[in-house]
Amino acid sequence: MLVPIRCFTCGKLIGDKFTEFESRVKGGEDPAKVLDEAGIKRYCCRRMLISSVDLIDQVLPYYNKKSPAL
Amino acid sequence: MFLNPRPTSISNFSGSLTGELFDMLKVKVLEDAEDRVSLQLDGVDRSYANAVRRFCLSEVPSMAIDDVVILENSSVLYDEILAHRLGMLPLKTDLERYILPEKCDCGTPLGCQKCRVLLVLDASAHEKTRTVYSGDLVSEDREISPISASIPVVKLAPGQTVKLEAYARLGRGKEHAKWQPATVSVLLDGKSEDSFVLKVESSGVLRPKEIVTKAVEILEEKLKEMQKEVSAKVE
Repeated sequence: MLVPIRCFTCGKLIGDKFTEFESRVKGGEDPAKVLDEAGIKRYCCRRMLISSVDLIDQVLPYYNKKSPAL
Repeated sequence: MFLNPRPTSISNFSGSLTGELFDMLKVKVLEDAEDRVSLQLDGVDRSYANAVRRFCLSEVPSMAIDDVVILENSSVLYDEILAHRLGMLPLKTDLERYILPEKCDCGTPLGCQKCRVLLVLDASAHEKTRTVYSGDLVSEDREISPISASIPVVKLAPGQTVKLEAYARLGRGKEHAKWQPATVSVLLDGKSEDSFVLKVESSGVLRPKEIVTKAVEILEEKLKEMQKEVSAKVE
């Protein structure tokens, strides 16, 4: 649903770099360059950001104040 | 530059187990950065160097959220997913002021001032969708808080609320990876047979040097305990 907080393989913190990564890549920058600048070296950590999709954004619009709590 | 040519914690060890092993011990710092340290160990037995490497991953304690009391959660994430995300947050650790819960005499399930830190989260979205970040957690101890304030924890739609108490404790990597202070700890072959390069990368909760010195300290403690046991049985 949301970006994982740590790399599944090595445990490095990657969650805090996703917002910037996503916006810069959507703005047309080369993902490899953005990852290099964020200091993410290993391919285990790099795939975390490259392959992450925030599905929560697709679910949230279906909830509003009037919908009963689950 | 030499860092502790003869770490006191090793040379103080009076047992015959390591007696002559470290006569030629030399530690050279190859790299000393914010998040990583690279040490060249000369005159060390491979088994000892490897024990230190493993201890960096599995024995050095660090702080992580362990118990979460959820007071309200109307977000789209299930309670357990939310609690798991909180557990993964790396917390700045102070090994001087806190002790492992199993070594604490308080005997209470949630712990006391010496063995746990309480973090509180109270967030709701009103007009717009809101992302709740690690920085929204309020810790009772200012020193013990997430190493980054911009880790997304959950996203809330208007009207949703998350209210919880999180209890952080010291723990070891061998119990759960969230307590691992090092992300990478490798031992590479050096130039000669008894020369190795120990590379340790910290997850950010402890300084890399602190992880290595603590690992040596814990190994020494364990060896002393073993020596005591063995000599008691042999005599």
